[in-house]
Formats: sequence, structure tokens, C-alpha cells
Amino acid sequence: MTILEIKNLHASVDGKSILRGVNLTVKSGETHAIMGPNGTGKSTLASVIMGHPTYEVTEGEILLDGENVLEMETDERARAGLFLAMQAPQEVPGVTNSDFLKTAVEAHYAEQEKPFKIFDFIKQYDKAIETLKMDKDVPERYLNDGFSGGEKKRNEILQMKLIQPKIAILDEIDSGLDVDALKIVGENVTEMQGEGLGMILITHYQRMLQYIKADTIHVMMKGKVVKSGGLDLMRRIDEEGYDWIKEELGIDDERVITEDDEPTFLQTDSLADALKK
Amino acid sequence: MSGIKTVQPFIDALDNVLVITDGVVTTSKLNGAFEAIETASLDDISDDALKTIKNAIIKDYEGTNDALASTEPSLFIQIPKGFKSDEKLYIFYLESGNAKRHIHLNVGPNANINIFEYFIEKSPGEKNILASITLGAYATLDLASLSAFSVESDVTFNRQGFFQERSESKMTLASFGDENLTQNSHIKLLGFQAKTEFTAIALASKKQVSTIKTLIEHNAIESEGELNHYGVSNDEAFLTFEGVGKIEQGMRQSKNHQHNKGVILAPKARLDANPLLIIDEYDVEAGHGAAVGRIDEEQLYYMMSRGLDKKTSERLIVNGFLHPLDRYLTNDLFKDHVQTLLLNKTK
Repeated sequence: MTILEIKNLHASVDGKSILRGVNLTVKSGETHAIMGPNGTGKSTLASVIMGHPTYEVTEGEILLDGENVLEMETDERARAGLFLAMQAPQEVPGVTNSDFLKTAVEAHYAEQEKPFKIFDFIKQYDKAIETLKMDKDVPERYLNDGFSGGEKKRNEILQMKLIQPKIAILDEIDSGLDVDALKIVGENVTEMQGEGLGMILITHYQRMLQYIKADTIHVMMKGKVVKSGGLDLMRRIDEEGYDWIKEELGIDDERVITEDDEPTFLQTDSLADALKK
Repeated sequence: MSGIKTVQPFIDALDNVLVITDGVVTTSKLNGAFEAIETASLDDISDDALKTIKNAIIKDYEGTNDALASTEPSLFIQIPKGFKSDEKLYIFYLESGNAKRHIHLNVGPNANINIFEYFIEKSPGEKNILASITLGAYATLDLASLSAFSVESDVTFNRQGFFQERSESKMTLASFGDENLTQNSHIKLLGFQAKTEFTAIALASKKQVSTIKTLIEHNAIESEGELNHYGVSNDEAFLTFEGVGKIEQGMRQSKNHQHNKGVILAPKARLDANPLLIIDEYDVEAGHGAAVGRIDEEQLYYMMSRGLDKKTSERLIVNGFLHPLDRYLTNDLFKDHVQTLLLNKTK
């Protein structure tokens, strides 16, 4: 049994406060959907949990089975059992998907002091590619390089299947996926739910929740969770949108990020861009 | 650590091997088609043959300020006219102490050869090496050249190419050693439609200062030159690329393109790329570009979010960056060896 506890989490970027007191607890086998309009801090929460270097945590804590996550580097968080399926997965030309994933899985096995068996890995990899209905040449292709939006998202789920995290965050996994792809991703994720994976699903739309069942729905506004509930809450949002929640809570502007100040990431001269030339 | 101390495992594992120790052939393991390959020292070669080669090399070098241009080669390697094989020729050059060396490779007309060569330090010193190549009409050359000297050596590596009509060449020079290196390459496209693709890869680390200069000179109509510089600079190293594409007047319909790509791994490391085009003819196609920078933070974060530590992520990215070398490393022995060298340079 794994438990992820987020307590009174505050985070900022370039001195601008984005997360303003998030509280959330996720246990093995539970799925928490985080919904809410654009710019309310949902993706920031995902990035802060994974340790993105742009964000600074100013208050609060994140604990994984009692261990202080905020003291860990991003790679240590991953090896401790956290996984983030990203909204915009990076392209890394020159590094093949198979080399990358093998190195990642090996690192997890080493952490757990389990022997890594290359043939088992290859078998699992091939099987996962098949169940996600991806092209057979994925292992030899470069990491997400030239992948369509949908392929990138499936590749995130593919990695998750092989890495087998304890708690996974899926950040808008449905964007860029057509209905067929969404169905395949849904089946794969549902299977992992059954195996005890704890999950945070970040989404704008409830359509994803037709394919991945959530136990609890949370609504984020102004950088924190303002309302939590079950399927009733989801249905009401589906029918009426978010305005009634704003009214109920007396929120005028729900956003913490406006379009003008989308977080600027640490981008020096980008090698990725250079290599594409 | 740099290079290898003994080449015996390579000799045992490979076919078609020449070992040249301080300019003298010490092992020759040539079979099948490769039996036709000849080597000769200056003393062995007939005056006529020497004259022909000297004419090819030196005549074209008059007026340049290259100090080594007038040196007579101490060793000739002759790939006969019309040579053909799908297999590779492996040449190991072992150099001891202070050395001044000129080796000449002549690829005869219509020959088709694939060479993997490795320059290895037997003992440190000041090394001045000139490797010149003449490529006959319609000949093709696919050459990978690896060098790895120790920090105790100072190396000047000169490469000259004289390429005739419709010859096609692909050359990849990779410097993975710890020495201060000055590499001067001068490729002359002398024949109609001569075509070359020249790639220099350099990894610099510690306090290494290395300069990689490459000049591709178009002295023929419709000649094509492509120059690629790939570099990685680590620790406090200073790596400089100077690439020049030069198209002489009247050499119409020639093409020259140059790309410089570099990764800087440490805050104090430097990497400069100075591409240059000197063009004296209107009817040409030419261009150059340089992209040098640090490893992308977003790529690192992405890879680390899957459990790879920072060093491993960087190494995978650098490895990927050097993928032009991959197609030459068809042998596991070399693959593993290059990995070890790479690890040493990027830790």
C-alpha cells in the first residue's frame, strides 16, 4: 500500500504564486480526477510533484509513504515510484525509444534490487506495443522524434506499463487522442488500476472519465482544490460547467495563470531545435 | 585513460588488418581481394612511382603555407585500380615518442574501399602526423578514422585529400583522446563532379585545448562538398571549429554546405564554431550554419522523470548526438571500445 500526501502545497514561478495551498491524498488503487478551467494550476501541480526545475515550492509538503518528496531530485522521485505522463512529451533525437526505456527500467530494477533480465524486458516491450496498437518499429525510432500527438501519448502509457510506478499522474492524456486511441489508452490504464496503481488524472473534459473510471473528482481554482465529490459532481460539471462553483464560492476570476504569463521554461539554446535543423 | 595499450585482441578478432608501428608495417593480415593491397616504404618505392605521387600531392600544394606539404611520405598504401570488396580494411597506427610522420594512401581509379583506421599512442610525445590521400577517377572511399592520445601528448594531425573526377568520398574523423589537438584537414576537389562528405567529431574534456580546422576547396566544375563538425566540450575544455568552404572562380554548379553542431556539458567549458565561405563564382549553391548550446533542460527533465540520473541522461543525449559515428561501428569490439572512450570524456 502506497500513499501520496500533498499538504498545503504552495509553489511559484518567477516569483508569481501559482499553487496556493493544495491538499490531496492518493492511495494505491485510487483514482483522483482533477478538473477545472484553463489556467487554474492543474498542470503546475503535476510538474511540482515531479520536480520540474522551473517551479519553486514556497510552503507545504509532499510525502510518499512518509518520505519527503521535495528533497528528492526528479530521477529519485521516479525511482521512488512516481510517474508523470506529460502533456507535451519531449522529443530526443538520436536516442532510441528502446535504449531509453531499457535504461529507465534498469534503473528501477537496480533501485528495487531486482535482477534485470533483458529478454523479459524485450518480451514485455513487444507485448505492450501490441496492446497499445503502436507501430512495430517504435523501439528503433528516436524518442518521440517525429511522433504524432497521439503516438506521443501512447508512448507515455507504454513507458508507464513497463516502468510500473506506484502513483501515476496523467496530465491531459486525452488531448491529441481520437476516440479509438482514447479507448485503447483507457483499457490499458484500467488494467493498471486493477493492479493497484494509484492515479491522478488531470483533464478539462469529462469525456476521458468514460474510459478511465475515477473514484473522486476534485475541482481546482485559484491554485487549490476548491471542491471535491463523486460522480454527481462530475455530472453537474458536465451539464452546467464551472460557473455555479464560482458563484457558490464567491470566486470572480478562477485563474492563477493568464495567457500572457504562461510559465516560461528554462530554455537556453535548445539542442532539440538545433538537431532538427 | 585514452586509447588502447595493445591491439592484439583487435588483430585476432578482425579480418583484413594492417598494423603500422612508427611508420613501419608490423602486421599484415590481408586475405582474398585484400591481398592485392600493397604497402611500400620510401626506400622500396621506385623513383617513377614516387614522382607520380609527389606530383599529385605536392604540385597541388605549392603556394600553401603548410609546413608539412613538402615532406616525403615514409609509407605508401596502395589500393589497386578497380579494387572491390564489401569488407572493411582495418589499419592501426601505433605512434611512440616524438614523431613526425607522413603516410600516403592512394586509391586507384575505379577502386571501391571501406577503411576503419585507429591512431593509437604507444608512448607520449609531440606528434606531427600527415595522412594524405589521393583518390583516382571514379573511385569511392568510405573512411572512418579514430584517434585517442593521452594528455601527455601534443598532436598536430594534418589530413590532405586530392580527389579526382567523379570520385566519391565519405570521411569521418573522430578525436576521442585527452591530448591538445590541432587538426588541419584540407580537401581538394580536383576533378569534375568530385564529391565529398567530410565529418569531424571531437570530444574535449578536462583542460584540453583543441582546434579542428577543415578546408574544402573546389577546384573543379560541379564538385560537391559537405562539411560537418560535431563537438562536445566538457569540464574546462576549449574546442574550436573552423570550417571553410572555398569555391574558385569558374567552378560553376558546385555545391558547398557546412554544419556545425556542439554540446557544452559544463559551465566552464567552451566551444566556438567559426564557419566561413569564400566564393569566387556566381553559379553555385552554398550555405553554412552553427548550432552550439547546452543540453536542453526540458529534455533532461523528461528523461530524469523516468528514473534516469542526470549523468546517464546527459550521456544518452550526447551518445545520440554522435550518431553519425554509428554506421561505422559495425563491430562489437569497436562499439564497446568507443563507449568506454565516450564515458571517459563525458563523466
